[in-house]
Amino acid sequence: MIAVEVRYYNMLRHRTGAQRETVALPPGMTLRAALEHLITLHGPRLREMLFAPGGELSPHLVIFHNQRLVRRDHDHSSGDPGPGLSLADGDELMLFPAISGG
Amino acid sequence: MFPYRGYAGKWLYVDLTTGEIEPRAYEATLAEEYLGGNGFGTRLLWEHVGPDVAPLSPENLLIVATGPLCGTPLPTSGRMEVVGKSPLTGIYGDANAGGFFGPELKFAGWDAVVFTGRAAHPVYLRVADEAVELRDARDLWGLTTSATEDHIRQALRDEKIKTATIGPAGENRVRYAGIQVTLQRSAARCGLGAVMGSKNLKAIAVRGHGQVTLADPDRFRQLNRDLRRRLRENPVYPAVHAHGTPGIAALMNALGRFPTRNFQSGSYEHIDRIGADALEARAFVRHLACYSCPVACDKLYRIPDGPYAGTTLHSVEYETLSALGAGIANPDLDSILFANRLCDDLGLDTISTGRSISFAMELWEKGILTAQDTGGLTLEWGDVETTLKLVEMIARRQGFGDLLAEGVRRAAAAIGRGAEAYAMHVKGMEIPAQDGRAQRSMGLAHVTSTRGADHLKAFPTIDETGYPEEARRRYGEGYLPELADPLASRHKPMLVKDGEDFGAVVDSVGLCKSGGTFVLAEIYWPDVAAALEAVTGMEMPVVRLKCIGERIYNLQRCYDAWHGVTRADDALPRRFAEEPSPSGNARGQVIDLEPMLDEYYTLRGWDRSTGWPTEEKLRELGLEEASPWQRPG
Repeated sequence: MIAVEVRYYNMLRHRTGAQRETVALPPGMTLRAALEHLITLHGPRLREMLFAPGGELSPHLVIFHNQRLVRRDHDHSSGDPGPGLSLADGDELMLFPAISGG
Repeated sequence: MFPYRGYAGKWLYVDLTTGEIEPRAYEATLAEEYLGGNGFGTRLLWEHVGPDVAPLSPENLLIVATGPLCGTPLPTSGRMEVVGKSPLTGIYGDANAGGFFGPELKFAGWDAVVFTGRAAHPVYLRVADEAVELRDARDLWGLTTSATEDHIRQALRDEKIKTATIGPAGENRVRYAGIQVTLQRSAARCGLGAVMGSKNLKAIAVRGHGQVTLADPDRFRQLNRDLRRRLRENPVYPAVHAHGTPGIAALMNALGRFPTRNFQSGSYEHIDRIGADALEARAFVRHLACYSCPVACDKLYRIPDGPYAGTTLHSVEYETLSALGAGIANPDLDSILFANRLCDDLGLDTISTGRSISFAMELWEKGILTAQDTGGLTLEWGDVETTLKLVEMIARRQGFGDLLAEGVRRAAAAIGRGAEAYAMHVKGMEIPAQDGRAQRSMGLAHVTSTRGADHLKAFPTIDETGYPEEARRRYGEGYLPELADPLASRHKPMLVKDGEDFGAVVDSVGLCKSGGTFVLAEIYWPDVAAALEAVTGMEMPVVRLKCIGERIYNLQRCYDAWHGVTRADDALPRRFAEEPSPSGNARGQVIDLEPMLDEYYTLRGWDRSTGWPTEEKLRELGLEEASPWQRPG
């Protein structure tokens, strides 16, 4: 298993009741699968904050993987992280509502 | 007879030198071409305050203006605008505030109050519906803004009076003194509190009992219901309501866009100690809302214990968490809140205050300033005691504070020895809490703002979080993915231009930029056009409204050009182009403004070499007489 640190902010902190946690995941688990795993940990009401009704990542969720912004419209050639990236031991995920303004 | 509803149809002209107060009729053409608020102020400033007028002279105007939607039941319609020539920048200046003052002025039957001259001794203006008088304020001079409000309410035996006041900073003409609008909000930027102080005007106190009339009440009711529903259903609404603007601090920190140590970094290592979650846990008391606002982004905070126990604040902004927190490397949340309250009471803009202190701290770090320069003060990063002392010294222009009260551009020029490189300003105004290396649109917005470094003129929120929904909704699929990518430059000139024009309209009608127009990105051109039709009865197709926004912004640019501004002034400090960001998602990034500026000027119909509106563009907007090409620069 690998250890991934997950940090929750704003309404995601409210919903999970956690500011940060370390979760144990199978090696190579994708970011998308890891988010599904978080729903099993924190209950089904977390789903609406992570996924859109169609199953894709919520457009109102912002994720950073190891301090880099995850692109929902991931272009593999760009080198930016996307939802399909494989997580590694010691990785960090930061989850925010897509709030802006200031 | 003024033909439009929504307006009071008259405004006050107050000559403080003579003491004359003259009611004036609102010209229909002014409403038709400039709406009100920001547009009204821009037009008056351009007509009456030329380059020969010094900002702190009696001839400068202080224009306090509302718009036609202000004071209606429409969501977020509580904003007021203050316009004048800025003593900080020497060019066009404005500031905007929410709260309840703007609607109260409308309820009293006035769309605006315009001050000229200088009173022989301190006075305040009392507006009680049709009764308007200047009252002696000699016993208020020297008081804080909150004490001034208390005294006025007690003296007039009316707790519901709404005030706009200056504190000691405005009296002492600190170049970035703001105007406190009740305890809750500030018209903070551009130093218009110093203009008020230069006029010996301590406060404006307003009480009204009328209401704003509507041209089409049925259409208005439907529109109002629809907008309120959309705001509440907006997926970002819960987060904005829960935390207000501090809610973005941790996210901006991750983007590398949260100015730290005078912009040496865009991520603060102690963000978790000063961000929204810490703020909520430490000091949240209850939600507060401005007039008619369902978003309620303000909060009442109270420090529960410790050295600042009992300190209350009616608002804390994201900007202040950077300016008085990360910007000076101060991880002590309680001291940030206390300094914020101190700035509100003394009547200081927290952004320029914090940036002036962080500028001095970096000069200290670099060895450019020593104790000999500072009167013995040591300026180590994060030194809370020195920071609080400096805030007082700035407001009272004491010792080293007197130099910082001039703003970073003037202070750097006086210090010399290479200090200019660390003065983080555009056109003399201190840069707010965005970093163009982390968000290209903000870098461009800072330099094209007509009031100097500012995020709120264009307020490009669309690409802050790197997600495309709002971009798609407003601009269409064709602009993606770049428009939603904070590190992409493509399409950002379009985003900035559209934001500036729309923002000019929002500030002219009396709506809020944080309550749905830019933050939440829910209310847009068609909504404001429809609201104007329902409220005023003016025919307002979107194309006409866009033209008005463009007219206002172009006139502000012409005003700046008249005062010598050219393309050369549309520039960021060297740091942003030469020092790669060390932070978060922006690591390794610098910003190259020139290609974006070329495209921006082209979209605007401005000359690329001077950055001035072309004669052709001005003709199109009916602004031939404002042409900088026809005036000595």
